[in-house]
Amino acid sequence: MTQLVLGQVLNGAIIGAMYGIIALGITLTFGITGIVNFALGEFMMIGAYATYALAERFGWPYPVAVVPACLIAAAAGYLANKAFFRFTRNNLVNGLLVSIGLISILESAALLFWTATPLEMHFVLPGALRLGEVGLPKMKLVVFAVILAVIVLTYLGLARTWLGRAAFAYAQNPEAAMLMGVHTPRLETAVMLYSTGLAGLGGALYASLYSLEPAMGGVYVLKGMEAAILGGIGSLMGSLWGGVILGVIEGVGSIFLPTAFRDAYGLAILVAILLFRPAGLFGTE
Amino acid sequence: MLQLDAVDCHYAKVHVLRGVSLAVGAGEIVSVIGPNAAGKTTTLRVIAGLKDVSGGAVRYEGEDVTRRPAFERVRRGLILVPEGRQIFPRFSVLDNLLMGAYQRPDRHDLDRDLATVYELFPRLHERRGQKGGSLSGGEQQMLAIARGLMGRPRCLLLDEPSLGLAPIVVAEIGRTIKALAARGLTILLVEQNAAMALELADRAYVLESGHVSLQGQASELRQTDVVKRLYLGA
Ligand SMILES: Nc1ncnc2c1ncn2[C@@H]1O[C@H](COP(=O)(O)OP(=O)(O)OP(=O)(O)O)[C@@H](O)[C@H]1O
Ligand SMILES: [Mg+2]
Repeated sequence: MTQLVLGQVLNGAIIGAMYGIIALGITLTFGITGIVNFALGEFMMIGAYATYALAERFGWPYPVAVVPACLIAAAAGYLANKAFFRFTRNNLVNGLLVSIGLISILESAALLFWTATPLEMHFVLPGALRLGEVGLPKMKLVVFAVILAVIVLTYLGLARTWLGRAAFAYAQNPEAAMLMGVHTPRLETAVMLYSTGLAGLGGALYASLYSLEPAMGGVYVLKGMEAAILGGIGSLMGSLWGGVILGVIEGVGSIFLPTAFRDAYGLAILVAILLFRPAGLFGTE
Repeated sequence: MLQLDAVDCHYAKVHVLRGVSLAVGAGEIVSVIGPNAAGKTTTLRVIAGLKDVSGGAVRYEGEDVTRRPAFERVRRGLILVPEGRQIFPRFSVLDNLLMGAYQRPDRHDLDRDLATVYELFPRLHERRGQKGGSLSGGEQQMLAIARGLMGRPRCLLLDEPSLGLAPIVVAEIGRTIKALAARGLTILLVEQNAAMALELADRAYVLESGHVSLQGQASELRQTDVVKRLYLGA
């Protein structure tokens, strides 16, 4: 039993951290630039398939494949911003339309290229870490550690650097930020690169553990939104924790309830929490 | 130091500035006064690079900066303290001040600058941990000016620093502007409070519906009938 629960907690935390990464990206992009990027899940998909292609088709070692995969996702994000997103600043509806369009295009492209058959990578790091009677797969621990490191670095980057201060200033008042000498177009590009590159990293890590399908991005955006609401809209770290909590609830819940209801009880708990804390777990009124 | 040559400016089809020319010499305090909607704020936005001109040129320190983006002008010490303060409400007073120095190469060592603005505005020192948004109107105005000073301006643009403030606070802001000028800072002051503007300034311009209708030494303008009647309420 301990094995089962702990295993599901780790599983849930990893999947949840992916939700969190997407949620963080959406919150960060919207909060700082006023751009709605609901297509972020597709950049995760790009990162995942890029990793698969580099590792399985070209035979690169997995850790070496992850870096270019993130860069490819970020490059795709850069192009999407230059071509579409930058025209949707502070316009929710246009942002949504562009997102929906991108989702259809990118999913169709992936379908064409990779077909709908789920793809799986070879084991990157086999084996499990044994703690008494409990065994935890090594690769899952590594993935979790990487995500944790990225989260800590993101936090430090935002809280402790001039770039982070500029980003928060820009989020509060873009024009005043400009008057402080912030190179605002560059900041916007940086946010776009970071959020899509981060989604790509999520995808690259995901590829090492689970099977890939062209439609994977859509699921993660929906869960990312749930996570952002759960954590409290606008709260960056809240959206990450919201993701982890949602993932763990789903993981542990699937021990006791049929997995078919997985999406439903995550949502049920979200609604229940919002009843008591309308602003989300970490949000302020 | 700063010069506008026949600047024209439109919002959509509306012609807001019609051939505005003005000059500010190094070390001068120059004011622009005029009624609501005359185009005073627009003039400052053009100078700061927040608004594109449709004709004419902006020159700063001998260079044509008409097409230079706002953040670049700030880096050259051309700093606007905007109308309505525009402080960062969720930043503390201290973070607002630090943000003011964002573009400076020596931004890692700001203790001296902080000490200087705290000396000018002791109130800000008392409130340094408080959120910008929770300050009173007068304190926010002080913060906006102090934040501008943190950027080490060579030419400071002030847009209605007295707006909405009690007379006693207006007097305090006025004294601060004088003190800054005494240190050699060049200041372009836009004000509806003509009495204050003309008292502080060396020279002044009267802007009416987008063009300069009157200009001269502040002391002389104060004596003209039009100014007396329309702006000084005499
Ligand atoms: N963003 C804008 N879009 C359209 N018109 C504008 C905009 N900003 C200003 N205007 C118009 O330009 C004209 C000049 O405005 P401006 O703000 O420069 O006046 P002002 O002299 O600063 O007035 P006040 O003393 O009330 O601050 C006004 O008629 C105003 O309606
Ligand atoms: Mg104005």
